[in-house]
Amino acid sequence: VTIARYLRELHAALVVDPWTRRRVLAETEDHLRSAVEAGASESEAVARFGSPSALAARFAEVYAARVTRGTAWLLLGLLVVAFMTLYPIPENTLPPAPWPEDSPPGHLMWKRDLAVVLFAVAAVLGIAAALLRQSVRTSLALTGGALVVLAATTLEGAVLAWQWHEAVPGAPGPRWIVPAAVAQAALIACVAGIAASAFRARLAATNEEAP
Amino acid sequence: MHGQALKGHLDLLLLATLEHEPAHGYAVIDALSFRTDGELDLPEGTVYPALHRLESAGLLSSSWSDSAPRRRRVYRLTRKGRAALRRERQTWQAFSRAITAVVGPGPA
Repeated sequence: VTIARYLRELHAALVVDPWTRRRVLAETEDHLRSAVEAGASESEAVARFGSPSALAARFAEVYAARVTRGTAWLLLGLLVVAFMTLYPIPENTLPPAPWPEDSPPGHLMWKRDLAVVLFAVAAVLGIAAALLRQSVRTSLALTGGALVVLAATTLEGAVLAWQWHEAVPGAPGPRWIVPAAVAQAALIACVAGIAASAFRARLAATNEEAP
Repeated sequence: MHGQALKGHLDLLLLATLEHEPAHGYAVIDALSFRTDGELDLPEGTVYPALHRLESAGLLSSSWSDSAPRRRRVYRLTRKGRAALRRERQTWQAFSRAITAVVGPGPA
């Protein structure tokens, strides 16, 4: 196997982000060329690295651990954003609502309570993913669970906000609700995408039996 | 030396190799082999991912060096890495003393 072929196969096998891929390939090539300059043949130099898939699996394991940690912290940031968008929906920041006999409509109350409960569940899962020391698999499962619940919170919160707007004069309307919900959904999708890349790397590391 | 025997000590070996000066991956493997008369001839496929892992953990930092004919990634210990090395070294020394006390030097 020549150095060029080994690098091509390694490039194809790596399940990491583009920056890490470039770095791994550059480091590997430098090492292989140095070994050849020191007197080894290309095939001897390449053999010491092991198969491209085994090497890629080891890097995938490192990458999965790093990205999983990063994703968990991003998730915490996302929870803060979600809290800020949820917060104005209930009565907290609105003028006193003109409810008959000071009693808000039941269909708004249970939806508000549900949004709060969903957010609390997402927060607990997200905090556990970020702060507890655990395996990549557990952390990814917690992160995935938090993202799913957070997506449900966003959807349910948007419906609640819309109905609240119809029931309470002066409450934030579509001009606020739609962009906020879309932005939050986009952020959730971004974090989910990063978590998915960590999951793929974890899978690649698990599937390949490194020597 | 059998790879299994090194399991668990790889981090200590890499941190100790980088203790006095920064080095790129090739030099790290070369130094390990040289300092142990070839006993520790670690496969590259193990060392590079370990260097990346130690960097992710904040024990090493790295940067590109353009002084060689090609760009090289040079690794150096961070403050956290030095503290980890001190701890790992103490643990190893205690472990080594304990094993030696049991195994002994063997028959003369």
